[in-house]
Amino acid sequence: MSAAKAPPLGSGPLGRAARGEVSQSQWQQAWRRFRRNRAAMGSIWLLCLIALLSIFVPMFWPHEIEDTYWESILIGPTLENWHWFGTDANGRDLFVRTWYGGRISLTIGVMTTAVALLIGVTYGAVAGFFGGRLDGFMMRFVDVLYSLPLLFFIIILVTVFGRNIYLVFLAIGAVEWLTMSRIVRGQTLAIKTREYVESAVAIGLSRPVILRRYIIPNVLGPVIVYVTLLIPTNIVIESYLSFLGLGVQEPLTSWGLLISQGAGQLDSAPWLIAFPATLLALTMFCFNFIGDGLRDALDPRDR
Amino acid sequence: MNPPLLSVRRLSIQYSVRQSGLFGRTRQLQAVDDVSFDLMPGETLGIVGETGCGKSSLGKGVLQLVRPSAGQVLWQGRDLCQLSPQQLKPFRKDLQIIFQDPLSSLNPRMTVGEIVGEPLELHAPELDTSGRERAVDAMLERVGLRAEMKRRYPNEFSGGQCQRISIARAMIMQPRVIVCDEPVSALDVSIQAQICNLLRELQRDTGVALLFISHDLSIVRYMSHRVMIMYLGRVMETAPREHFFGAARHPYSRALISAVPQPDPDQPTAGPVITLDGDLPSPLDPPSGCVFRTRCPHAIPLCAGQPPALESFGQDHEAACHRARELQ
Repeated sequence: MSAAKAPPLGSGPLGRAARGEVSQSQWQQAWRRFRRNRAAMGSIWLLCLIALLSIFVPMFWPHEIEDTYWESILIGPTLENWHWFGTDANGRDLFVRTWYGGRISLTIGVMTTAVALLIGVTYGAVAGFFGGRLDGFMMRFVDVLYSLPLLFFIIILVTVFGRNIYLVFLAIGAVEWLTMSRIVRGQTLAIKTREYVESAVAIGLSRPVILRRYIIPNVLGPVIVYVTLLIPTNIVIESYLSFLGLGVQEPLTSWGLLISQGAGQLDSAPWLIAFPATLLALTMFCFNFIGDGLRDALDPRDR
Repeated sequence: MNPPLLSVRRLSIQYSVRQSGLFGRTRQLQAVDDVSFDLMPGETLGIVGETGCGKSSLGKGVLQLVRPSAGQVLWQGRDLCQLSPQQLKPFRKDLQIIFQDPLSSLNPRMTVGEIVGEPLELHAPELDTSGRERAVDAMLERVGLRAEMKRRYPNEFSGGQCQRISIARAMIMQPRVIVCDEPVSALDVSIQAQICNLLRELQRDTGVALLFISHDLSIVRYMSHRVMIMYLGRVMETAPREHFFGAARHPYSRALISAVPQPDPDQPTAGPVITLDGDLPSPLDPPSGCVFRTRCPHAIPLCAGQPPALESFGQDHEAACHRARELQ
C-alpha cells in the first residue's frame, strides 16, 4: 500500500538537487509538473495543430471560402477536386470553410478572453486591494451587470451598432470579465492579509507598486486556470450567437455558423455538421484538459 | 539619562468587528488599551503575552501598519500617528519589521536578491544596479547566507533561512528600530537560537533597537534588556530583565515566570508552579476593573471595581496591581 503510493524516484526535492536543477521560480516548477501531465501536453500539441491548420489551410488550399461550384452541390467527402470534407448547399468547399471557421472561432475565443482578462484582473484587484466603500461600490456595479442577460445585452449592442465581428469580441468580453473580476477580487482579499504585503507597506512602497508587484503576480495562478476554461466557453457563446444569427455573418464563417447550417440538413448531408462539430468538440476537450493540468500544476498545496 | 529613541504614549488600537448575520452589530474590539513605553537606542524591549493580548497589534501600531485610534508614537519629534502614508515614507527606512511566518513574509514571485534589494531601490535611488547588487551580497553574507542565493526563490529555503532573508531585507537600510513580531516562534528550537544570536550580533554591531514580541519567556529573557507584560491589551508590568525575573510584582507575571521550565533538574525550582484557571476572556467583552481579576488567585472586590494604575516599584519598574505591595 505504502510502496504503491511512494513518489517516483527523483521527483522529490533531493532528486531535483541531484539532477543539478536549482533556482526555480514557482512558475518553472509548475511548468515542470505540467509537462508530466500527458493528457494536458497532448492537448497542447493537438491544439497547436488545429490552430496551425486554421491559419494555413485557407492560405494554401486550392479553393477560397466564397468559391461556389454549381456542378458539385452537396457532395459528400471525397478526395476528388480537393473537396475532402465535401461541399455545402451552395457548392462551397467545406474543408476550407471549416478551417476558416476555426480561425474565426479561435480568434474570438482568445480575443474575448483577453478583453475579459484585462478588465477583470485590473478591476478585481483594485476593488479587493483598496477595499472599503470603493470595493462595495465596484462590486455592486458588477452585480448590476450580472443581472443583465447576455443575450439581451448583445441584441442591444447589435441593434445600436450594427453587425460587426469586433462587436462580438466586445460584447462577449464585456460580459465575461464579471466573473473574472470576482475571482480576482476574492484572491486579492486573501493575499492582501499575507505578511509579505504588510512588509511591502512597512518598507514604504506605494499602493500601485504593491498592487503590481505583490498582488497581481500572486493572483495569476487561479486566473490562468480560469482563462483556459473561459476560452472554450467564449467559443461556445460565439457559436450560439452565430446560430441565432447575431454573430458572424456570411460569407465569413465560424464553427458555430457551420454547425447551425449543417443542423438543418442533418438527414441529407450529415458531413456538414460532422466536421465542424468534431473540431469544436476536440478544441473544447483540449482546453479543458489543459485547464485541468494547469490547476494541478499550480496547486499551492503540492508545493 | 539619554533621551528615548522612540516614545509610545497612551496608545490605543481598536478594531471594528462585524458580528455575523446581515444586520450584525459592529462592535469595537480594544486590542491595545492605553499603552505607553520608551525604547532606548540599542535596547531590546521584550513584549510578552498570550495569544490575542494585543502584542502584535502594538508592534504594527508603532509602525502605522495598523492605525492607532488614540495616542502618540513619537519619533524624532514627530507623532507618526498624525502623518499621512506619503509623509511616513521617509521614516520607513528607520523603522522595520520581521514577521512570524518565515515563508509567508516573503513574496513568492520575487527572487531573494529582489526581496532584499527592494528597500534600496526605494530609499537609496542614488545607487546604481551594481552598487545595489554589492549591498545585497554584503547583507546576505552578513546574515549568514551565500551571495549566490540571491538568484533563488523563497520557496527553496528552509524556515530559518527565510527568516535570515527577512532580517536582511529589514536590516539593509540600517534601521534604528526593528519590530520583531514573534520572529522565532515558527522555527525549530535549534534554529531559534541561531536567529536569536544573529539578531543580538546585529544589534551589537549596528546599535539597532529591537521591540521583541514573543510568548516565550525564556527567549525573551535571553534577548531583552527590559520586559513588558501585556494582558488583554493592557500593560501589567514593565521592568528591567533582572528585576523582572528576580522580583516580579504582578500576579500574572509571577504565574508566567513560574511556568517556565527549569532546565537543570538539580537546581531547586523558584517556587511552586502557579496555575491559572480558565481561558483568556474575550477582548470584545473584557472584565470590569482589573482585566486580569477573573483569573487572578489574589483578586479582591476592589479589583472588580477599579482598574489599577501603573505604580512605580523602583528604577524603571512599574506594575498595575492593587495588591502588588501587600503581596510582596
